[in-house]
Amino acid sequence: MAKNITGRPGLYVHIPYCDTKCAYCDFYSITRQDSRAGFIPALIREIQSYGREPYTTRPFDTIYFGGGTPSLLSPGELEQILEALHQTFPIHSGCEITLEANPGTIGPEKLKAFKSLGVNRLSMGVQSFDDTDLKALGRIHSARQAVQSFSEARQAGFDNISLDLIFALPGQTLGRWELNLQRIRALAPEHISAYNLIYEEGTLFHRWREEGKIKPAPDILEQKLYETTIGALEKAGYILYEVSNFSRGEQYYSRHNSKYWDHTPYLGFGPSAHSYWPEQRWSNIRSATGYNRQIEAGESVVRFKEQLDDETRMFETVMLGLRTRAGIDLKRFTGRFHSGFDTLFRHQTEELIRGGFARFEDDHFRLTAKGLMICDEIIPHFHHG
Amino acid sequence: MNQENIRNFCIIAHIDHGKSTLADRLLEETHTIAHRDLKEQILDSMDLERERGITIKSHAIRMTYKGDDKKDYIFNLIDTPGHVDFSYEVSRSLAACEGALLIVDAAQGVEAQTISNLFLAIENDLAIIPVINKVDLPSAEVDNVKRQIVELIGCDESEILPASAKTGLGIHDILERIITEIPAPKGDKDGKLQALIFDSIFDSYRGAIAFVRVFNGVLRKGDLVRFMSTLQDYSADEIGILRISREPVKELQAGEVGYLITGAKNVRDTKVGDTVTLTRDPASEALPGYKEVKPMVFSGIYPIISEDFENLRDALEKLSLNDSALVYVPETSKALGFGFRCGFLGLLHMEIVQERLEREYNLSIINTVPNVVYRVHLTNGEVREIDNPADLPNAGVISKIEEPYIRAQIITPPEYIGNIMRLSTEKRAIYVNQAYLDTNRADMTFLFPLAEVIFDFYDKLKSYTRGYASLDYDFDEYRESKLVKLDILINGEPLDALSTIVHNDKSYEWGRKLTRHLKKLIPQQMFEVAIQAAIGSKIIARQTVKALRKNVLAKCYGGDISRKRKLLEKQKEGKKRMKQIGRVEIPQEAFLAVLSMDGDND
Repeated sequence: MAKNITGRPGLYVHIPYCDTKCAYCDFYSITRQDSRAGFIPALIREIQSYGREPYTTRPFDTIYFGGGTPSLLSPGELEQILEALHQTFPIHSGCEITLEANPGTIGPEKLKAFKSLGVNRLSMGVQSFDDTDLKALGRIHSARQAVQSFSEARQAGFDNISLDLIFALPGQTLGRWELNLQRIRALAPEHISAYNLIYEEGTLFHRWREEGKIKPAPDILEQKLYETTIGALEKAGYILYEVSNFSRGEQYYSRHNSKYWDHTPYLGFGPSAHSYWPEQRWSNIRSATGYNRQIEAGESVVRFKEQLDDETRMFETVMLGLRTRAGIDLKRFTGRFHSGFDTLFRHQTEELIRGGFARFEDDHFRLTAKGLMICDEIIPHFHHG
Repeated sequence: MNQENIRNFCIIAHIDHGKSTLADRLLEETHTIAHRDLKEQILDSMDLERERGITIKSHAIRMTYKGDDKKDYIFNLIDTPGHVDFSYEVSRSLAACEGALLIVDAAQGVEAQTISNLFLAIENDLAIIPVINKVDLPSAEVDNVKRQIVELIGCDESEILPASAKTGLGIHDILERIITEIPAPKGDKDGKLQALIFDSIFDSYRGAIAFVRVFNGVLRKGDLVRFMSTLQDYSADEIGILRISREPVKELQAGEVGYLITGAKNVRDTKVGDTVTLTRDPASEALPGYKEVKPMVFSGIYPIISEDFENLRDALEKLSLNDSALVYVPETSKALGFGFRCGFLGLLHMEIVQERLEREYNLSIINTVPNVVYRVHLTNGEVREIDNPADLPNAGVISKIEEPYIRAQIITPPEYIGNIMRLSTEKRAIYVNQAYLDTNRADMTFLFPLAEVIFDFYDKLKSYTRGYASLDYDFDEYRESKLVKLDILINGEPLDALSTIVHNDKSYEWGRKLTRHLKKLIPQQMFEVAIQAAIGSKIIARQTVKALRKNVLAKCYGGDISRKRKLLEKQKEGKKRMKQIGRVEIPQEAFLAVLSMDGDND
């Protein structure tokens, strides 16, 4: 098991508020602030409602503030939430506490305050170091601001920073993207998430594409951009440890996100937050006002719930495992499903290995770089039925 | 009722010329159905028929009408199928009548199908009442169409009735003319029973129901009857007349139209065109015109999911209960596994069967490229009928191959004659002759290889003549052709389901087009896919589907795993609709590539 993958459960808190809605984003977020006064108390009540077995049995070792824009929280608000978490759950001493921060919403003072409250990892939504891109994405910050926020975060003492980038933006060329990669290498963050833009239904980008107002990058360019990203970052010493995640060493793997990928339990709080606790997945209502109302009325905010049967759970194991560098842990697989991965999927694995898409290695089955590039094509082949 | 007061007739019309609507008006005017309380176009009772606006099965309905002469009449309207695939059934329906309404659309004029059915009616000695329908349309060219009709049947212009099924204009006149123009049946009530089966359907409760026209004698409930083509005897468990529903009666006399239910389970026992007589006192001969219907077009039908094989068998069995023209035998394909070789009257018939399997039986099927029946002469003197290209013997042992030709009549405005000549060359036709119906309509006759007509012929004809030409055809004869088998190889493996028999002169072009088209239909996958066309061991064309380089959606965070999983599960569903050939996934459309490839010229 890689360093920083612990098997201990994690906590997620969704802060839905944003200054503006970005045109590509399909996470639940709102710009209206009128529900905000009621939100923190509601959130705390939801957190407290989980203060019981089995959730309180084992210590949690990650807390992740996602959004939305959690950096819009005041230090006071963040303190209240952290306090509620600490009062409700056993928290491991070396807990990774990540907060998503957008450049332009956060200054030196706030950074210091967050740091002193225990936040020890920042995930900054830079998205690009190119002002044309940033404008197209509907971001409120400029490239200069992004660089400045990064150095302010360093000054505030953050020694574990992740930067988000998005590629395959409409109009983006390979040359411009390479400049982006140069800029990010110069900053040398501990962790980089580089996402291929997805035109998610319900976003403005999706609508614009349908209306012909923006033209998506051609497939061949997307492929080039992705290959270039992997090449450039690996050359700079980053490890591609998941389809879109790079880190400067195993100790900088996102401990929290890794839980999503290997069926480690996590609890999510706030509107639209997702939870997994064996063998159930559930998620909350996607409305801040609805969330407040339900909590006030003492009613459940869970809007989706599913029980994973063995078949589903197995497919997830393959789906998530194959997206990671580690791959599928064969011993763990056999322990969980009482039959060997290689016997269950002999035909598929042989074919993939023959094509150079995957290999067995260190008791794992993992995709090669070539395989990772087409993992969405590969994964469905592992679905029974 | 006395035979004097019975009129049996049918309607001859081209698709869209308003046959069904006009029939509805007649039913209303005679109070057979109440105004609009039934679905549009009551005679077309299958969903498919209504959607496509064509009649697939014949139907019959009895109306009672008090004429202007104050006498009561029985009208039996015998509807006819509206497509060339079913011309035999049409001929039997016509044989059950003494007269026909000839309906011509005032805007469209006379079409090929109308003419061929009209000639069938004239051959059967039917009295013809010409009607111009839709005269209320702004685009109506009543005078023109009148001239066409006069030219065609040699009537007087004044005999042609203007009508509009939409407004009800002329409906009363039509009913009166049926009385005066169409002869009453003249059967011998005391003679030996001869009843013509002009259609038969399968009812899941009652078994086979035969629709009959009694020509001579009397058919009584409880009689022991004999079907003369099979010499099978059955008891006439129920007989009756056809209104909106079946109404049992005690007897059907000479001149009457009705139905007959025996213990027969299957429409193959009550064949269209057969004669029913009495077992104890049989007629000395059957009514003329009975024919065994032979399928003209063959195609393989395979379940996408191999476990569905038995379900497919059940469904075909059920369909064939009601469709004596459908034949099927099990066959195996290396590429597609277990399925059935099915024979159809024509392409429409094939499409109908396919659609019914998918809709009514909820089966996902792959159907292979349709082909005709080839007559293969071997060097040892043996002659084989081949209905599956995969069965074609080695070129070395073949002395010659014959293919079926049809005689096609195409009616077109003269300005498209050039285009039609071009089409006929493309389609290897033999020109027969050409005549003018009037200055606006040429009537052209060709002999076409049937194999050429089953591929994209209608679409081409339509586009070459901007939809103005109409086509009708009939089997002509077998003729020798230079034919070869073209195989398609996927990564070196022949895909038997895609083998076709093509004319030698066209084989290279065909191979090039087909591989190019398949390249578009087969999605990129993990591995490179080589698509080759071959004649014997000679590769004549090759295309490559390059291996997929990137297919990965970046985001899988925020903990929403369910959504990502469902997305991939959906992809898996999509893959299920494909056939796995070796390690290549081939979508269904590829198996029909030949049908969709034309116009594919890039």
